[in-house]
Amino acid sequence: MAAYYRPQTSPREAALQPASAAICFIDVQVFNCCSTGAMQRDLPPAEQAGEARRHFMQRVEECKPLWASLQQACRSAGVEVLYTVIQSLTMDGRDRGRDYKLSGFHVPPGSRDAQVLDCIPPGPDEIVLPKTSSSVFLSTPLHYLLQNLGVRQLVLCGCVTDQCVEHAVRDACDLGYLVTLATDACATHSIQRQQASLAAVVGYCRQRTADQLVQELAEAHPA
Amino acid sequence: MAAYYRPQTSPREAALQPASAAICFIDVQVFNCCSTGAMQRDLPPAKQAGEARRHFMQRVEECKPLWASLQQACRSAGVEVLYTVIQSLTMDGRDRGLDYKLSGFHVPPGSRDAQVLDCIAPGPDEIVLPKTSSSVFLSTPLHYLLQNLGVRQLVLCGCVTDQCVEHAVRDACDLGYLVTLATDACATHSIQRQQASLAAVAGYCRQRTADQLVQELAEAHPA
Repeated sequence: MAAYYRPQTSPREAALQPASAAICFIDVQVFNCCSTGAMQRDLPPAEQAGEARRHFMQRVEECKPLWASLQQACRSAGVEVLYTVIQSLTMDGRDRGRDYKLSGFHVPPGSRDAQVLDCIPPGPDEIVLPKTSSSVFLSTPLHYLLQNLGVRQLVLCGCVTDQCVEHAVRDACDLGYLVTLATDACATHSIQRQQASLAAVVGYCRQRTADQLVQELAEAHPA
Repeated sequence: MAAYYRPQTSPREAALQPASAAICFIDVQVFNCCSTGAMQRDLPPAKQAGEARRHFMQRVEECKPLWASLQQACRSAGVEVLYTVIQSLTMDGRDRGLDYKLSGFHVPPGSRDAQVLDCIAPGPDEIVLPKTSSSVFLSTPLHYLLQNLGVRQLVLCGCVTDQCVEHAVRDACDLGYLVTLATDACATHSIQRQQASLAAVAGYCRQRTADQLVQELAEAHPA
């Protein structure tokens, strides 16, 4: 049989079915999203004053109400809500992947920097996964968990659009999930980086705004 | 080139080098090792009185000082000490693998049943991994962590010899670790099951008693 290229987009474009959907908020935490978090606080002065930081912090502010509305809409619809946070399992971070060791990311367990932002505090029975890799799948049992939860459709958002979020889109797609990216609920350091990232993964995921997803969930069949 | 079968045992027989070794205590916890733990408490009366339970609880008692001495020897030698416990991530256990759902194992997060036994209480900077599968590798980031910690030699012990421990030996061997099984620090429900398990995995691991390993660690180069 001859090789072929026949992309099928219809399954990926399907609206969310709450019983088999989940949302994962990626790295929405104090470490990187708050001016008092180490990633912001430890920036060299030149970068502290730079446009990239200003833009990112502004995007975080814009995302906060969108994150909150997505969380609420998912909870109401019975969609499983999960979170990843950059967080080591040891005080000295010896358990981190090489990329994090080289990148200088270390968030000790139990630290304030590990906490998910107050705008979307995890519920008492929601899963928060510490991660020490760019990929949300490599250093956490996320794939295993999602399979056990019967998840087929995965909504992703958070930080940083073109880094951990984009990596998650690609990995999730490879692992067989139907991925939806909540585009305006993803934050990065410039408009150019945002647009480049969304364009790069357009073939891996369905892209919707947070408001569109909230509406879709409100109209969905109950879980 | 013709196929061949030339087993090489020498790397696996090497003594532990603390800097690249770790020990993992598998499922040494209240749930299954204490009469007040759910796995023992919820046994039907006939099984509560049966020989299998009596034998297992006796083996646990015999293992306690061996587990403690192994833990101490590893700590003194600078060998990383890790633990797995049967423990779900959600209160209703929806995150568990199908095997655990069918087997009826559920240990809620934060419950007393999830706690490692007092005889080997984990240190404040030692990693305890919740698992919801037979394999210690499938539902935890153990492999990722061990690689990041530079571990090449993995010592295994705990419960149950012919179940989760044996599974771990096989998986660890496949993943490239040089496995040492601390034979008398593994507990199961009968002498026959113990002997059958050790024989089954004789080709996957080096087998030593806890005392032999404690002696080996005492003589090892410092980490």
